[in-house]
Amino acid sequence: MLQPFPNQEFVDACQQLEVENTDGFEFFTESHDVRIFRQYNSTSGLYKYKIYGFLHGATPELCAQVYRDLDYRRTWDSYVNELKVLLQEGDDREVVYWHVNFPWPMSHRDYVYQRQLKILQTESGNQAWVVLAKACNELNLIPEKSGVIRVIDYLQSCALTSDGQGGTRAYMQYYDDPRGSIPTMLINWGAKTGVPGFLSMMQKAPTMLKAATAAAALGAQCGRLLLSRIPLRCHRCLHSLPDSLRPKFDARIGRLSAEFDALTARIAQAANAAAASDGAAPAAAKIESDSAKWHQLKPLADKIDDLLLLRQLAAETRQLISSLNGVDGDLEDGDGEDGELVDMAKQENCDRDRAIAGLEVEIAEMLLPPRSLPSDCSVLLEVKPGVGGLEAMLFAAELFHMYTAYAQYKGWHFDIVEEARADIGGLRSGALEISNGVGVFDELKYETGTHRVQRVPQTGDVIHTSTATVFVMPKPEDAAADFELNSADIEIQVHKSSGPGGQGVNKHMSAVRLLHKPTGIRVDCQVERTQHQNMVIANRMLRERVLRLRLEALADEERAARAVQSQRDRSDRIRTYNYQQGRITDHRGRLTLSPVDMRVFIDQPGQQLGGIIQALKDREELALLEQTLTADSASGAGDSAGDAQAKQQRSKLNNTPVRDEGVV
Amino acid sequence: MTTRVSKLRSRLHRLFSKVGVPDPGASANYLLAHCIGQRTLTREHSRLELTAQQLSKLTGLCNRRLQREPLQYILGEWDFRDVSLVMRAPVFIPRPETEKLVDLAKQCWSAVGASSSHPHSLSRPRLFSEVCTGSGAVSVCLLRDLPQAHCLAIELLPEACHLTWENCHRNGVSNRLHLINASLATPGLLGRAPPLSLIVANPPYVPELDMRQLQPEVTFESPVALRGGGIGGLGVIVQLMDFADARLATGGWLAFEMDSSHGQLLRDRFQNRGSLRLDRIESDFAGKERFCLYRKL
Repeated sequence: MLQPFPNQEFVDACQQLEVENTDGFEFFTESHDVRIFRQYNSTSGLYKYKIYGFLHGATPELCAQVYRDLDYRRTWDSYVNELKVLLQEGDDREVVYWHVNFPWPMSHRDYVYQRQLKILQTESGNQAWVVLAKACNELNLIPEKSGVIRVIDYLQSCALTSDGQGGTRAYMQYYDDPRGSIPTMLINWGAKTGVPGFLSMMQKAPTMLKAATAAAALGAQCGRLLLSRIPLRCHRCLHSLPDSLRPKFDARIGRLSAEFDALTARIAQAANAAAASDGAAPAAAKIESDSAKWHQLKPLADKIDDLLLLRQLAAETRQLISSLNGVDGDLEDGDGEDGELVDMAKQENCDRDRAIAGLEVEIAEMLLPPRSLPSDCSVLLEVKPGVGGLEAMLFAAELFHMYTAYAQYKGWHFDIVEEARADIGGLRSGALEISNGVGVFDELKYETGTHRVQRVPQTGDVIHTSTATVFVMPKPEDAAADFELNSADIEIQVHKSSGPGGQGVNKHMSAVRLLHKPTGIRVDCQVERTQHQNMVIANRMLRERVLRLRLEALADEERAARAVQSQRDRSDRIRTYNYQQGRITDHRGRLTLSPVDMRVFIDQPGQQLGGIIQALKDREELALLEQTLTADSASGAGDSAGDAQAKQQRSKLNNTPVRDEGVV
Repeated sequence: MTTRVSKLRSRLHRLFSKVGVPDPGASANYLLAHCIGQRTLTREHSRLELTAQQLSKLTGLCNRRLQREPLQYILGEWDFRDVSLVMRAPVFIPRPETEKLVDLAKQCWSAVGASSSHPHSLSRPRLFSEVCTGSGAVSVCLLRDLPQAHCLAIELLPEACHLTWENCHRNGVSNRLHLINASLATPGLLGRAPPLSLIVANPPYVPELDMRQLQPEVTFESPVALRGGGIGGLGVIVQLMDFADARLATGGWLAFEMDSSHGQLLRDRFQNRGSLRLDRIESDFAGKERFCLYRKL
C-alpha cells in the first residue's frame, strides 16, 4: 500500500556526506559542531535547510536507531506531545503521527508522514544509514485535532555515516510548510535557537542510550564502573596507550596490583587477630588506615585485574590460532572445520584487543593525577596587540572576533569585559569572560602566547609580520556562598563506648569527628556540650576547609598560569597565521593546517581551531602520562605524584582540630 | 593553694582520674567554668585567678562530684540538642542517644502530614504525646521544631512533671503543652482527647541484668526512672504499645527508645501488636539498635 521512495533520493542524501553541495544556499549559523545553511523560496516565502555536522561518541548505527526509535524519542525530545506509528509495512517503511508542542506564540502542529530507511554505500565504500520522510495525508489515517494545525507539506532527509573516530558524520535536509503566518523573527529564532537546541539534545541522546543499554547488559559490573569515585578527567583525550609507554605502564600496574594484594592480606590478618583477641584496640586502628587505602585502590585494582585477565586470554587464543594453523601455516581461512575455528578465534581476539585497548586507556587516565581545577571553571581571555603598530592592532581585533565566534560555536556563554578600540582602527585591548561550559580552561589554555601573522597589510604591498598576545586565565568561582558539601561524601565518627550504652550510662560523650572522603579532610569538634551542637560546628568547619582547599588549588593553577605567562616577546610565538600561503602553523606540536581560507577561519574557527586544540590536548595528555609513569618508576614508591600532593595539602589543613579541652 | 584556672584545671583532672570519675577532663572543665560564671572554659580563661568565694564554691562542687553526683545535677543545667534545660535530682538526665529520637519523631510527624488523609489535619492542631517525659527534653525540642503541634505529656513522677513544665516554659513552648501526672496504665487516660498523630517515648528500659554494672552516678537518679522497665526491661514498652494501639490515629506512629538487646526480641515476638505493625529499627551513633518505630494500620 505504501509506495517506496525513489532510490535516487536516498543516493542524493548519501552523497551529501562526502561532497557538500550548498549551491543556492546561504550560510545561516554554526553551533554545537553543526553548520546550518538555508535557501529562501520567494514563492512560498519559506526556507529549506541543509545541516552538516558531527555527533560525537555514537556510531551511525546507534544514531540511526535513536533517530528512529519513537519510544526513546518521547523521553529525550521535550517538544513531543504525541508520537506513534500509524501503519507499518515491512521493517523499513512506516507512517508516523507526530504532534509537536511549539513554544508560544506558535501553535501546536501535527504531521503525518511516511518514513523509510535504507542502508547504502557511500562513494568511498562506507556504510551510510539514510532515512527519508515525507508528509503523506492522502491515506487519511488520523483526523485533525482542534487547535492543532496539520502540516501538509513536509520533507526531511537524514544521512549518517561513520566519522572514522567512533562518532557519526551527519547530513540533514529539512523543509516544512507550517501554514499560517509566522513572523520572520520567530522563524529565525526557530532556526537559530530551536534547531541547535534540538541538535544538542540529539547529540546527547545516543550517548545516554548507549550508557543505559550498557548498564542493563553489564548489570552490577557497570554499576561499579559508573560509580567509581576516582576523579574523572573531563574528556577522553587519549585514544590508545602508545607502545613506547607500555613497558613503564606494565611495570606500574604490576606494582599497584602487588601493593593491593599485600594490603588485602594485611587487613585480613589484622581482622583475624582482632577477632582472636576479642576486639583489641591497636589492631583496629591499623585496620582503619589500611582499609581507607584499600577502598581507594579497589576500583583501580579491579580494572587492572580485568586487563591482565583479558591479556592472558588473548595470548591463549593467539596460541590456539597458531597451533591450528599448523607449523607450516598453510591452512587457509574458512577452510573446513579448523578454518572456522580459526576465524572465530580471530574474531574473538579482535573484540578482545579492542577491549584491552579501552581498558588500558581507562587505567592510564586513572593513574594521572586528579585535576585540582573544577571542570566548569570560568575563564578570562585577554587579547592585546604586540609588535607591528596598526597591523598588530588589526590582527588583535581579528583574533578577538575569532574567539567570540569560537565561544559561540562551542555553545559557551561569554561577556565582553573590555574592548578598547583605537581611533586609527583595530583593538588596543580586549578581554572576554567565558563561562557556562565544561572544560573551557582546558581548551583555551593553549591559546596563551604570542600569535604571529604574516600578510600584506591593507596599505602596502610588502609582507609584514606582526603579533598579538593572548592570555588565558582560570577564574575561580566567586559563588563560594553557594558551595555545599555532598552529605554522601561525609563520614561521621563519634565516640563509641564498649558497654550497652543508653540509659545505663551517664557520660559526656559529645565529641564528633567528620571525614570528607573525597579530599580526606578530617575535622574534630568537642567545644560544645552536645553531639548535636558539635555536629553543626564540625559541618561548618568542614565546609570551610574543603572550600579553602578548592580555592587554594584554583589559586595555584592561576599562579602557574601566570608563571607560564611572559612578556610579549617575539620568541614566544605559539602560532603563525600565514595569509600568503593560506597556512596556520602551531609551533608546539609542529601542527600545520593547510590550505586554510584565513577569512573563513577567523570568522568561523569552529572545527578547525577545535582540531588544533584537540591535537595539543592529546600531546599534553600523553606527556603527562609519560611523566607520571616515569616518576613512579624512578621513585619506586606506591603513591602517584598526585597522591603525594593531595596528602601534603590535606595535612596542612588537618593540623588544628576545633577543641578547647586541654587548652591550658 | 593555687587559684589560677589553668593550674586548678590540671589538678582537678588528676584528682578525678585517680578516684575513677568518668570524663575527668570534662568534669574539671565544666565545674571550673561554672564557678567563674561561664559555660565552657576557653583559652582566655586560663590565666584567670579565682576569688576566695569562687574557690570555696569550687571546693563544694568538687566534693559533690567526688561523691559521684552527676555533673548535670551539680551544675543544675545541661544541654540537649540545641536547647538548655534545667536539671534537678532525681529527675532522669537525658542521654545523648535520645537526641536522635527527636529526629526520628520529626520524620514520623512529616510522614503523617504527607498522607493528608488525616481527618484532623485542617480543622484542629495536630497532637502528639510524649510518655515518660522526665525533664521534658524531647517535648521541648519537638514543640520548638513543630510550631503547629500540641503535646499531651504523660509522666509518673511529680518532680519530673514540674521540671517538664519548667523547661517548656523556659523555652517558650509551654502554651502548647498539656501535662498529665499519671501512670500509663491508668484506665480512661486521656479521656476524650482526639486520636494522636504520634507517640514518642524514652521509657525505662534497662534490663535487670545490666543493673549491676551501672556507674555510681545513676543512683542519684530516680529508681523509678531507671528500673521501671522490669526484669527484661520491656515492661513499660509493652504498656506503651497497648496505649498506642488504643490512642493513635490510623497511619499514626509510635517511636520509642529501647535497650540494644530488645531489637531481636521485638522482631521475633512483637512484629504485630493489635493494629500496630513494626516498621523499622534504627541504630544510635554507636551502631547499636536503639530506636523502634511502629505504625498503626
